[in-house]
Amino acid sequence: MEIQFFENKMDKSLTVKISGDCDLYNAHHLFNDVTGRMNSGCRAMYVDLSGVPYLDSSGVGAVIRIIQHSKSKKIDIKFRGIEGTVRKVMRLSNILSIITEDRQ
Amino acid sequence: MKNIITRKLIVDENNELFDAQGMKYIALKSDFSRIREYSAKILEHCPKQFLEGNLLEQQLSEIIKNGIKHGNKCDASKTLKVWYDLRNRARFIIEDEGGGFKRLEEWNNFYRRRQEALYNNDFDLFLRLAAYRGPESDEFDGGSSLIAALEFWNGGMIYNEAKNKVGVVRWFSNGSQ
Repeated sequence: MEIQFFENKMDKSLTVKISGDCDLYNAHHLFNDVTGRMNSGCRAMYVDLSGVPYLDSSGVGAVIRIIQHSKSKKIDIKFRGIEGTVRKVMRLSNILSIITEDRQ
Repeated sequence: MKNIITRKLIVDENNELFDAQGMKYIALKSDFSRIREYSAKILEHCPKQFLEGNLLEQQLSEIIKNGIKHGNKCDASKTLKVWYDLRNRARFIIEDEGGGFKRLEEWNNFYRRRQEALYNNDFDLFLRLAAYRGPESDEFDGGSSLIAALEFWNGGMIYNEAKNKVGVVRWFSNGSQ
């Protein structure tokens, strides 16, 4: 899994682009890297999952904890590119209702 | 009017889902690093229409992970037994050598409260209940694998009395869901 950050200095938002499988072996990296950047300060965050072909319950758990962390930091967080199997897993896990999607 | 849906994990020792007659069998070492490899191996000859992209592999990996991590505690001397049948539907029986899912009823209560929060549009409570934490859970356990499993295994998900063995089945209409 690769995690890239793109900063928009105009609106102080951060886009996180994730590529590759997000599973039991690396979901902790997703949580640690993303919340680490949240702690460095940003007003809004966009998490782009369009490059993720595989998401398991550890990945779902990381997403939930990232949302919880964003709430505690009062950071507006939106998700992009939730498609295919990743969307099915999120629907089965019943977490789509707590996710705000930014449909570009 | 909306209807609240609360599924439950069920214990039924004599359920037909535990009848392994005619099923293939494989014994797996409790190696956490090989969970996805194990799933891929079991599904090597699975009909493509059952795979649903990588969804079947993902759901199978979850129950193998539960057996290796929570059941056998990743003890390499313990075996995970897997029976599988991929004719007409995807059916598995998975048995570990652990002490069983003792907090099954507690998990059912957690899931019911979570669904009630969703029903009541109480998203703050729903978010707080988004993850289940038992005394042996680590920070990456959230109970969401079981939530998804209850939805995915549409033909049933049944535990034995010892709660160290689970039988699951997914049926397909027109080859896929």
